[in-house]
Amino acid sequence: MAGTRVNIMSSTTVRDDYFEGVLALDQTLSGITTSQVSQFLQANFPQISMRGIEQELSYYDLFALWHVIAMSIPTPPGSGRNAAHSGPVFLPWHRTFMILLEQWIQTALGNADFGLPYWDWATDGDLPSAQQWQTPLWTADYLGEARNEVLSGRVGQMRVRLWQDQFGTLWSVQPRPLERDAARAQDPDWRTLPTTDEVRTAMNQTQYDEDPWSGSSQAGHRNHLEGWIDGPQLHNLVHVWVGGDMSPGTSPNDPVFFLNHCNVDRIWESWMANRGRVYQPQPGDGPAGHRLDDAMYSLFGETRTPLQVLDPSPWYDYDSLTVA
Amino acid sequence: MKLKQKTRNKLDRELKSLTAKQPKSQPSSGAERHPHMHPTVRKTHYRGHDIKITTQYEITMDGKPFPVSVMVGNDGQVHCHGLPNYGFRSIVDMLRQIIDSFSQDMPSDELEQTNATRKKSTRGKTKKKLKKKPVSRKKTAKTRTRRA
Repeated sequence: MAGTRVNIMSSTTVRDDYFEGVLALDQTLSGITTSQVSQFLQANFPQISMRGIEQELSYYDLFALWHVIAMSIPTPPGSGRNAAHSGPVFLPWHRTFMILLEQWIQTALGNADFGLPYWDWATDGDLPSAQQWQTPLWTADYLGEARNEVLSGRVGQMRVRLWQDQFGTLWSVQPRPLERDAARAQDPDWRTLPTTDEVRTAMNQTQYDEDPWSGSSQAGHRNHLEGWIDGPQLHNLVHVWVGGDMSPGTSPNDPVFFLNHCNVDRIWESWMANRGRVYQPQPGDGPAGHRLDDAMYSLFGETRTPLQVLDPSPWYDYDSLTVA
Repeated sequence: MKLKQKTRNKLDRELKSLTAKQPKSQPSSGAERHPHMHPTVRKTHYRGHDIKITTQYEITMDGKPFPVSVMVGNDGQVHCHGLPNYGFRSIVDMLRQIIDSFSQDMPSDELEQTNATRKKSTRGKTKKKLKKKPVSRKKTAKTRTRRA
């Protein structure tokens, strides 16, 4: 076990390490160019069209790329479910995704004990809506501005190079600051963060997932937590609430992506602490790509199965599993 | 803050090591295209009956085709690939949010031009350079639905 993941509001050391780590990964170019990525996509994922400028990508950009590709693999073809979302694999896939970022930050910091921080958004969701985007989290010491361009603090130094448009085209753009649009979604119901009561509903689910193993599943911990039931809720609502660069498939561009998913992972871990390390569908059941023993898509080829990450103790633990 | 060369070398080694493990059976296929303008098919089984619903939307914006992918779940929620975390009550709501969310100016399209040049040199004949048209941001949308 490497590190303990803690609430970002409870440790300025972990907060500073996290922002120093993601900034270092974002400001160091990987040697991988967008023309190389474009050729890779044409050869392996022709469903993703890539356009824009020729440039070298940073190590951090590779996470946005990985996320976009996983989202573009329907499981099975023709369904709304993909290799990372809208199905049972949603939670183990993102767990795997975050483990690699955590390891790269450990390398960048030279600190093998570093653990990612999480944002307990339900605590803020219990506040009046108008206060939710004006908490200390949205100041220069933490994430920077909640609305418009992010220019302050360390996150203000990060740059977006990859961006996915409304048609699914992946654009290599002139490096620009992050953008957010907190609490200004088109639907008034989406202008407030998830609450503790809503987390409790996800925690009260007795099954991990159920047929049809998708965003249409009417019960189950995964679909509640992913946020499709009467959605967007919980995880999805956090993306929608932040808006801006948290909206398209390139949402890992914003480091708040990992704060959100770390909290989602903590809620899942809390659920498993209560219900056992159970997962559905089992081998031979449910859609391919989402079963307990199916290899999950990885840009880097080192694939894991949901079974291999059900227990995260080889990599990390949490300071608290109290979620509702 | 940039990474020191020593750290960068370590990350490069990790990246190379991970890429070297690329398995042959990744769940990908060139045939798995997005459902841009393709029908959404919903299937369910109820009291011994197999139900299949095929839905196709033809959307125009400012009189021009707007080829955004649309998916409809069995619960009636509408989804689109461009806004993966949203579930809309209607296509109209979806288009309103798309107009609000996507207002970025597109850069020059060097990658497309590079691809075109590569194809040109491969084929040995002239090919017109492609240029991405800017996305329209006029706030009018018209939808036409065709359901089967």
